Amino acid sequence: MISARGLSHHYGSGDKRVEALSDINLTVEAGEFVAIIGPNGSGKSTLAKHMNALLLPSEGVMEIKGMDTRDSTNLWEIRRVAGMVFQNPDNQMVATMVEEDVAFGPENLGIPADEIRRRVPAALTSVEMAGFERHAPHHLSGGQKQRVAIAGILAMQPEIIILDEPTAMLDPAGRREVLRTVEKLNRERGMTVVHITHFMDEVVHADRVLVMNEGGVALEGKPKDVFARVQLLKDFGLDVPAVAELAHELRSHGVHVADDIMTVDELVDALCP
Amino acid sequence: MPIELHDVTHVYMPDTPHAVVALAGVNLKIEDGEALGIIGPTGSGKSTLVQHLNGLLKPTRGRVVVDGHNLADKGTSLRAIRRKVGVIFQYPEHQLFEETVAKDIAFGPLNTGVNSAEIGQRVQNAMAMVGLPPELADRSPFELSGGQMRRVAIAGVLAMRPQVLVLDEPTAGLDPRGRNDILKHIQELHTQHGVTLIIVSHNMEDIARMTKRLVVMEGGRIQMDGSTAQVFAETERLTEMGMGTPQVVMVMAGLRRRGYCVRLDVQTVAEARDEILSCLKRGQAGA
Ligand SMILES: Nc1ncnc2c1ncn2[C@@H]1O[C@H](COP(=O)(O)OP(=O)(O)OP(=O)(O)O)[C@@H](O)[C@H]1O
Ligand SMILES: [Mg+2]
Repeated sequence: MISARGLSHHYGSGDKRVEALSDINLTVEAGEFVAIIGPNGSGKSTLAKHMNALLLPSEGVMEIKGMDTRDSTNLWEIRRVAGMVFQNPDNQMVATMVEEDVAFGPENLGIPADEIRRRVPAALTSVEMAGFERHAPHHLSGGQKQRVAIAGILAMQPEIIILDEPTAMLDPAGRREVLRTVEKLNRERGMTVVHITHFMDEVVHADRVLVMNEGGVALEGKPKDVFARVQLLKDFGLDVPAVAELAHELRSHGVHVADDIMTVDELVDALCP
Repeated sequence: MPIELHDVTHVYMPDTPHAVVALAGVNLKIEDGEALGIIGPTGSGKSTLVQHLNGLLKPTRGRVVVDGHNLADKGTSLRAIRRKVGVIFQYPEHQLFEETVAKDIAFGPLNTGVNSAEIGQRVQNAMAMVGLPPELADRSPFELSGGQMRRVAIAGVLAMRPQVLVLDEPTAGLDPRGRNDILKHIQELHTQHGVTLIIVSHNMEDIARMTKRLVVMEGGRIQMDGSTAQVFAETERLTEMGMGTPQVVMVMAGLRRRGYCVRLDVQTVAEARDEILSCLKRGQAGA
């Protein structure tokens, strides 16, 4: 679905040149849920922007569903197939009413009006925001705004959703809402998901985790395997979920709990046989 | 310089059909050297409250008194107050505007009359505190990653050396090490220099680690006010309000439900570990 080969990106030139990505090789399969973690400035957002052709490779190739992002005739189809949600919900709202906001993407793609009228309520239903069609976006909570942003992407009938720290600004309830929505789209509709986050507990349900460092993929694997490498992650300036760390601590004090515990329930079960 | 809110009410767009009561009769007294956390669901009034602390917003009713000065009095210099009460806002990257990172950080102190000899020192110092490598000093703040921009904004406030530091979602978008390091430096400002901390956050782990007293807001009112450990121990009430508790407290609550009498008022991984270990030793668990 997503394929990068020898992908490099630099910003600026001369003595202002910044190497943001170097020689990335990566495939994401259709229906996969991939989480990306990594320190500030490691290249996560830059990589994400290559996935819907907001940026083009300085070197190497990025293909979305077989379409090369450097070929400008593919641009609109790539943006339709791969939709992107950003961190700050307020910067993404363009209209004065929720339904206009959701319609914005498909209108840009030149979808006929009656088709859009069918898609908007369906998209809002998928993110559990039916009934909010005529609400003003700026009166919604952060979690609701992000779900409207996701609906705006769904209305373009994409196959990939790329989320760049969609929950960074949200309260715990909002974070849960957004995650549940994304996980449901992945599970029930086979949507391919790329989720960038600094919250380690949001990563535990992904199929695969990529750890970025200094413009490259430093580590990848199943969440359990990645979080088992507590020390390596700490060296990258990352962390493991608090529960994984607690389990790790208990184990090193001789308590018999498995070494791949990542959630509260798993730890409670392990301690209460 | 204690900060007092007396019956503060704030209404946005008053006298219009869109009027929103964001704060409804808030009373709060913050003493010198406190480390206070403020949590609450989105829209509960936290950011509105914070903007009253240095006079950016004026109460519709009630009084804000900083160091004995009512902010609404003509004789009160808001400029002097803002020099002492530094606020890092929820979207600090919106506060960036200078050509280079160094100039952006220098802007606040320059404006309050710090001499240029000292400025360079303060900028360097603040950049180190937020973990920005010196080579970024001459970059445009708009050519940075999200987390780097946030660090610049935080550095700008730290360079003012305020006596009261108000942080609204300080760590959103920071990587774990950045979060750790910055919180550690802020903690040092508190313990070594007596800086008062007021921290608004959705991140319960940060609140647990940084604060001693915790206020919970909902619907523009203060619903709970107590020691951080006591407030977090009320897991059920917090969950009902849509708030989380730190993961370690959730583990303890889960163990309690299974019949172990572990304490709920733990705040860190180390405390949780010790509590579970001593519970196991007391022979209450099978393992
Ligand atoms: N517009 C730009 N111009 C120049 N350099 C940039 C620009 N945007 C980002 N960079 C640089 O590229 C590198 C990678 O940045 P990127 O935004 O991809 O990081 P990130 O992993 O998303 O970080 P964060 O966790 O802070 O969001 C960093 O060194 C950053 O300073
Ligand atoms: Mg980023």
